[in-house]
Amino acid sequence: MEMTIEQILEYIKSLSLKGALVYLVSQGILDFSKVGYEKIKKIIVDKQNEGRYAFVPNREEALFLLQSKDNPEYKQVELLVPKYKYLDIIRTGLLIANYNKNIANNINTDKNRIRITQIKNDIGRRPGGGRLLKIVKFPTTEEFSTIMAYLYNLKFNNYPSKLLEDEFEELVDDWEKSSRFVKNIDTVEEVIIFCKRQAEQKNKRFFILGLYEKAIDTIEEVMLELSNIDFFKSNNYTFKTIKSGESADIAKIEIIIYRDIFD
Amino acid sequence: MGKEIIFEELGEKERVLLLKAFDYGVDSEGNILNKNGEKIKSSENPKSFIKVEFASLVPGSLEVIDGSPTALAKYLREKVESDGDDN
Repeated sequence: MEMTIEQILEYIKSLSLKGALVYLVSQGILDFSKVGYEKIKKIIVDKQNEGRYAFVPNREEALFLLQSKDNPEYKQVELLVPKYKYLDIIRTGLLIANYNKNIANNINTDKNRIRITQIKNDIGRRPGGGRLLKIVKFPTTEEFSTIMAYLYNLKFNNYPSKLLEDEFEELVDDWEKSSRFVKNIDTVEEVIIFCKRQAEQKNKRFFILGLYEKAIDTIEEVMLELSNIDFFKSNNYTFKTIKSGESADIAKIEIIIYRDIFD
Repeated sequence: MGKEIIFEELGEKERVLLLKAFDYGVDSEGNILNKNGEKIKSSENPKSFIKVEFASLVPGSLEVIDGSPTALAKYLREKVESDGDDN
C-alpha cells in the first residue's frame, strides 16, 4: 500500500539525513515536484541545517548563520583551526551571542530569551548534546577573545596546526577551569589563590580577565604581587597582557599566562 | 557535522535528491545545474562542468564544488588563504 505524504513525513522525521534520503529514494521519490512534496523538501533542508548547526534554524536564523561566515570572530576561529569539525556550531554560538546582545539592548527581550532556551533545549537533546552546548556557549563568553588571542599567539610562533586544534578542543572543554573573570568585588588574595591553584595543578596555560577600572586595578595588583614572589619564574610561566578600551567604562584587561606547551 | 562532506557517503540518486532540496538541478548527462539552470564550471578544469558523481556540497555555504581530491584540497587551501588575507 502506498504511503501518504503525512506517513512519509512522520517516518523520515526520526531518521538521519542519509537515512531519510535513502528511504525517499527507495520509495521512488527522486525530486520534490509533486504537490505536497515541499514538506518533505523542507525536512531534508532542515536536517542538513540541523547537522551543521545542531538545531533547526528558522528562515532569519539560517540567513544569519550563512552570513556569519564573514563574522570577524568566526573567521578568526576558521583561520586558527580550519579543520575543526564543529566550526558550524561556533556559528550557532554567535547567533546566541547576537540574541544576548539584543537582550542587553532591551530589544525583544522575552522573545530572544525564549528562543535561546529553545535552541539550547534542541541542542541538549542531540547525541553528545552536553558537549555541543559547551561549544555553543564558548563564543558567547568574555573569555572567548582572550583564548583566541592565546591561540593566535601560538600560531604566530609557528606552532603546528594539529597542536592548535588540540589546544582549541581542550579549551572548549575546560575554559571555565582555566580562566578567572575578575569581578569588582573580588579581592587580590582570591585571584592569587586562583593563580597558585593553576600552578599546583600544572596547568600549562590559564587566563585572567576583567572589565572596568576596579577589576583592572585588582588584576594589575595581582600581577605585581606574583612577580614580587617570583611566581612566574619559579613555575616557568610567561605572561602576555592585553589592554583595550580607551575610557574607563569600556576598559578591559586580559592576561594570558602560559608555559611553552612543548615542555 | 561541520566540514564533513556528506556527499561521499551517498549514492547517486540520494545526492541528486539532496541537491534538488537546495534547488540545484541535474541534466540527463549528470551535470549539476545552478538555480538558473546553467551548468557549473569545475574550478579544477574550467573547460569541464561539475558532474553529480564527482561533486561535493560544501557545508556552510551550500556551494557545489568539484569533489575530486585535488579540487577539494585546492578549494580548502584557497579558502583558508583568502580568509587569512582578510584578517
